[in-house]
Amino acid sequence: MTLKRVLLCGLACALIVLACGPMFREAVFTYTSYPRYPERNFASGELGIVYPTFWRKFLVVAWRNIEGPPLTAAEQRAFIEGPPRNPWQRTLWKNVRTERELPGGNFQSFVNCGEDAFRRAEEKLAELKRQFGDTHAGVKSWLQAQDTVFSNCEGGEKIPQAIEPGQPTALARERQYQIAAANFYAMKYDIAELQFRGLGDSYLVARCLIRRGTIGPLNRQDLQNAERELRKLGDPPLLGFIASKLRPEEHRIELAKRLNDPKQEAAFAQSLTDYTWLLDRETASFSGDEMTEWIDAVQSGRGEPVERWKRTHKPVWLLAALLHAQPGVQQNAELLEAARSVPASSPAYATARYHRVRLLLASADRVRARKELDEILKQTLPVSAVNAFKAQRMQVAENVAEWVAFAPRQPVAWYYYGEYEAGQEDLPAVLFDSDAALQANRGLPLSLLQRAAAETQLPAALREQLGTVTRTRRILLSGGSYDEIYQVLRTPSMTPYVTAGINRRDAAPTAIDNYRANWWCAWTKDEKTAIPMWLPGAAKAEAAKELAALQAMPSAPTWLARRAVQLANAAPQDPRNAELLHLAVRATRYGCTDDANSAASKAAFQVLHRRYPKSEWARKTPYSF
Amino acid sequence: MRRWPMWLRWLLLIAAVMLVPNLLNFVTKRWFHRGDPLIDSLPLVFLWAWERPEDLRFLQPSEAGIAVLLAHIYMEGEGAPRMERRKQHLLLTPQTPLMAVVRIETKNASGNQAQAMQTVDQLFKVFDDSRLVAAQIDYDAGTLDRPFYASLLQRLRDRLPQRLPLSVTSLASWCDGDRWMKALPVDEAVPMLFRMGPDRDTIRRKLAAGDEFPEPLCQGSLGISTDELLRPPSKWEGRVYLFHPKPWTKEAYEAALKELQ
Repeated sequence: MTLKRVLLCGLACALIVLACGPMFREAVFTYTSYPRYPERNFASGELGIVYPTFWRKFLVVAWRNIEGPPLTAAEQRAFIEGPPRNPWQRTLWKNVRTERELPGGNFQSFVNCGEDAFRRAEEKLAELKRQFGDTHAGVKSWLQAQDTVFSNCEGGEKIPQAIEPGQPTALARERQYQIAAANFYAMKYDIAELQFRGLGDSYLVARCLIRRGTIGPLNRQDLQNAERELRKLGDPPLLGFIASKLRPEEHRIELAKRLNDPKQEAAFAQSLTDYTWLLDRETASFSGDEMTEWIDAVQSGRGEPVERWKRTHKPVWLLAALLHAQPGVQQNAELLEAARSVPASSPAYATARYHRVRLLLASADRVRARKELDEILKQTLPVSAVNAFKAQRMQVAENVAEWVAFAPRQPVAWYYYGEYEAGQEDLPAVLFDSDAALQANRGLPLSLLQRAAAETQLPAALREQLGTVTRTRRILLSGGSYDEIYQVLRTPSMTPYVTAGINRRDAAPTAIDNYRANWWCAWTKDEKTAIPMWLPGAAKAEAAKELAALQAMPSAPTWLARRAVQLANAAPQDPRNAELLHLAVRATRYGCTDDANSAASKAAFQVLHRRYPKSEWARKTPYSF
Repeated sequence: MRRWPMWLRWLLLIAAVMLVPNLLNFVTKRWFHRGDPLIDSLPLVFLWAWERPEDLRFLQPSEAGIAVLLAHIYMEGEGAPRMERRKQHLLLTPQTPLMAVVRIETKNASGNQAQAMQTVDQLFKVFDDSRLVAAQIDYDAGTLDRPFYASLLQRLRDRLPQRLPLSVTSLASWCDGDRWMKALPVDEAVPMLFRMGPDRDTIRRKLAAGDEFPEPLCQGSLGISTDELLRPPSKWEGRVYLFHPKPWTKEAYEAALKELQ
């Protein structure tokens, strides 16, 4: 029967699939890359706190809302939706690849056939069918020739044959277009240019010149010639493209002007895209227009924002100055005063106040900071800004009740693969952010954490988390009784740490977490304490002493395995000993390990097998780890 | 002779049916892929050349290779995969060992067989290049995408010439305790030791202590970023892939090498 069980067990084990995903969504409390309040609120002037790390297109919108005029409704829509996109999809030539590798062996490809080319070809075919009928030989011939044209998209130099004699003039002209287009896609731009000139098509002549001038090293002459051709046609969008290549700085200044002119609202989305693209170039100069200089000042502190503010008294420059103001500088007094006078109705309010409080805190003016923060938090602000102000308010808490009031935060989004996710339905209502977790883990003594856990104003989920943390930390600091160690070993989720954001994802508290969030890691020794300023002297000493004791301890599995051996030795008659030792070995497998893990695992394993060799628990423990 | 009980005979039959494919897979992988000396003959340092203009002519062919991102493949829903080739130039000294990298990105993709076949066709177009010494796929497959990824790799391996070692990038957690890569027909899995998730501290500590990743495929190489530099374990003899968040310069390359030493 034993053999049967062993074989069945072996087969079952062979079928086990470890379900384990490595990518995690992290809870976000404050938007620092780009705001999603959602965007329409930001576009309409609800800026919240503007960060130097915001993407530039958001800084443009911030500028417009603070400096004025605010975005028109059409501009707001254009900002949110971006440049118009053509939802068209190919029905013919579906499998034609659009990219072609450049000659020269530099592994560089370019989009040779744009989607628009396929759309126009399909429209042309429909037109010809309407004109001549589906079965007309000339239409069929046109289609074959077009296949040849598009065969050059990915590579090759195939040219359609001249049209058969006797076909209608319209089809003959179409064939000339097809021959020129085939040369264009075959990268024979000189020939294509001549052929399009022959057809009198300035736009396509310009396309040949632009392609020849931009594929590979920039050819200014070609682009200038293309510009001349296009000017014959008025002001087509391609002129902007040429300007961005020939005169990038001049064009960027022109775009900045358009972005500040509500009369140009129809071009807002495209102008914004082109403008930020030009600023993304490594050689961009960030000078020549005030908005660009402001963006540079916000991002880097360059351009003497304090002087600009003093000269102009504009709120935009006040913000740029405040963003980079360092504590202890004499001119801060003026900045602080100006920041205080920004009204709550201003789009600049939250940013100005945030930095005013930051400077007050740096100058240890805690009383004023506290008073102002309480006023600010009465305003209606985006949740992201509220979280930032709560973080400041927590710094000037006066007692544990205030700490409990400002430590919990409402997450605003999930962060996943470099982006804030749109779907927020499964966001927890409230969590601890990293500043609160840091203080709880490296600054608050156990006695105060226990008081915090008992505060009824703390949301239930966080009270439960703090309850587990304090229970575990007390066990850790006291050494833990038999019952307590037994309980910790049966509960992989128990931890003495407060977690910033989400800790264990899906596993039940008593289940092993597949992502290894089981039994905690050792306290890092190289990090400083984070003792809150409001702590009384005795509590500070208590916190420092506890932290030193915790930092001297190994990771949980090592500590628990050692304790299990000690307890089993001390109580040899306890009927739970075998299970206790088994659980200790299990913890060394699934928990957070350290250098001493293997030795502790082996010691527990040996005691288990020496003392209780025939027990069920010894059988369940074939290895140490 | 005593007859074996019926249940045991059935059990042995089932075990044999289940074990034979695994055994074959193990043997072929050991003999034809993992044990392939081709992967061992590759340079010990590769510079990842990402989608940005790169001038790597300062690199001597004898000192390091280039793993160049040649294409992205995007897949969404049931739709056909869409490939975008590299748009930026790569300048290099002739004879520099060159590995082609393709990054796959999926969004709510079903990962069906048709998509796998089409993706393999596209990958093959990139990898079928006599200038290459190896091929690499960069795909952060989610849990549900793994059968699709495994099937794709098997199809690709079947089509690629034997002379071309196949490498995949790997999230560090795949190499540490997660066993899903075990049967993949690849020559190496490069643990990416940057932009890591919650396992970051544990993995860093293990490496500092000189521990190897439990997954054998992950034991021969490491992926490191210059802005999050992490020294390989002491006595490390494997391959190092270096990522630089900006275009490479000679100075950045030399600084990274110095740090690693």
